[in-house]
Amino acid sequence: MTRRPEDAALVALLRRAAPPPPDPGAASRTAALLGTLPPPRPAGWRFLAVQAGFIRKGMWAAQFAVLACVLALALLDRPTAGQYALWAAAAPLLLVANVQDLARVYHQGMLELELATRYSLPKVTAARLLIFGLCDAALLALLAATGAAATRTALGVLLLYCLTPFCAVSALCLALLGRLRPAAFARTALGTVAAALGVLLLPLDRVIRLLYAPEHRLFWAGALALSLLALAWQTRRLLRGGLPTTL
Amino acid sequence: MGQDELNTLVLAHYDAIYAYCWRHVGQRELAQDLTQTTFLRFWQHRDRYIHDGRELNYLYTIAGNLCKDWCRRKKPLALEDLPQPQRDPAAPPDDRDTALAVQAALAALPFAQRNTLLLYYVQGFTTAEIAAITHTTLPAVRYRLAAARRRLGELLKEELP
Repeated sequence: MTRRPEDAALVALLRRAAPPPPDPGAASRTAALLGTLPPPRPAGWRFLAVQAGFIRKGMWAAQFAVLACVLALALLDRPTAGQYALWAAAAPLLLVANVQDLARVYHQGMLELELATRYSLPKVTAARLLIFGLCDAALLALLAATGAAATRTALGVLLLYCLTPFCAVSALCLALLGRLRPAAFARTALGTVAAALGVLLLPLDRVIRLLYAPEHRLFWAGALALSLLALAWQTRRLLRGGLPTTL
Repeated sequence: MGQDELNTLVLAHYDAIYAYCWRHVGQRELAQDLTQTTFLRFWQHRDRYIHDGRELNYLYTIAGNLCKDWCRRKKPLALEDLPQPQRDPAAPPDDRDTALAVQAALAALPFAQRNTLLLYYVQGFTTAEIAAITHTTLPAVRYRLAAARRRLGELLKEELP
């Protein structure tokens, strides 16, 4: 205990100021108290894993089914100028499954989850959006990589064509999620996705060629920047806003 | 960590943590409260604790932070409200004055110096362990130890040989 010979007196002095003994049952009372406490809340990646477990398996299956259909359709077709439109339209189509599940958990299930898991609603919402975002990022990367290989185009170009409508439709859906009631939201959000598909797929061949011409990629980049800004803004608003629910 | 392990941990280290808290706050009931809160915090944040057989170090970190918070929040008391200094009733009468003088001298030290001194001389940790417990550097621990020793020597010069 004594580190230097001259400190022996100091240690002896400190030892003389001994504390009074604690209550005889204090230690066992503390142990008993700790036994009554609930287990600690998971944090970090464990928290995300718990939240991912709440999401329906059907949603993941629907997303992969959509992706598989789009890939099969695109790969069967001959490479044409209009194929860019198909890849661009495929990206927001991935949102269909997300939209359904996000509406279900945000409008109906989130409050129960919040109470059951003792987390704040913004934290649970942020976790869900992060899970959806990570999954969508992986699917979009797969979509763009396959599209780049199929159309013999640079990956960056395909990412530009896929990300722009995806971010724009995501921002629109998040804006709707914070404003509409549950019943109206799913219909309106699906309508938005359908409208986006229509805008991207229905124009005449000449318009499509004009839209996806290399000299117009600056326009796409600008649109992507605006979409990203809108998405970030809507995410922030959703995480800070209240719960527009019927509960 | 299961309930049985926790019980063993509490029963094994309760007295040491209580003594450490008491030397900081000088009140028995308060020291018991702080000790209980220490184990409570350990239990609540046990997922942050990486089990490497050094639970005691982690407990001292929590207890030290609680004592530090209490010292910060401590409000000035009126003279008549001051708690009577408590000492071991079993101690011989001639030791009582010395014990009170030591308590007063410890209370006069800044928290960081008192904490380092107690961990080193009373609890028996090395300077490297104290640096880990208090989340500071080794030179800072050595400096605090030297300063605390010097200051305590001045305050207790009548008691020291």
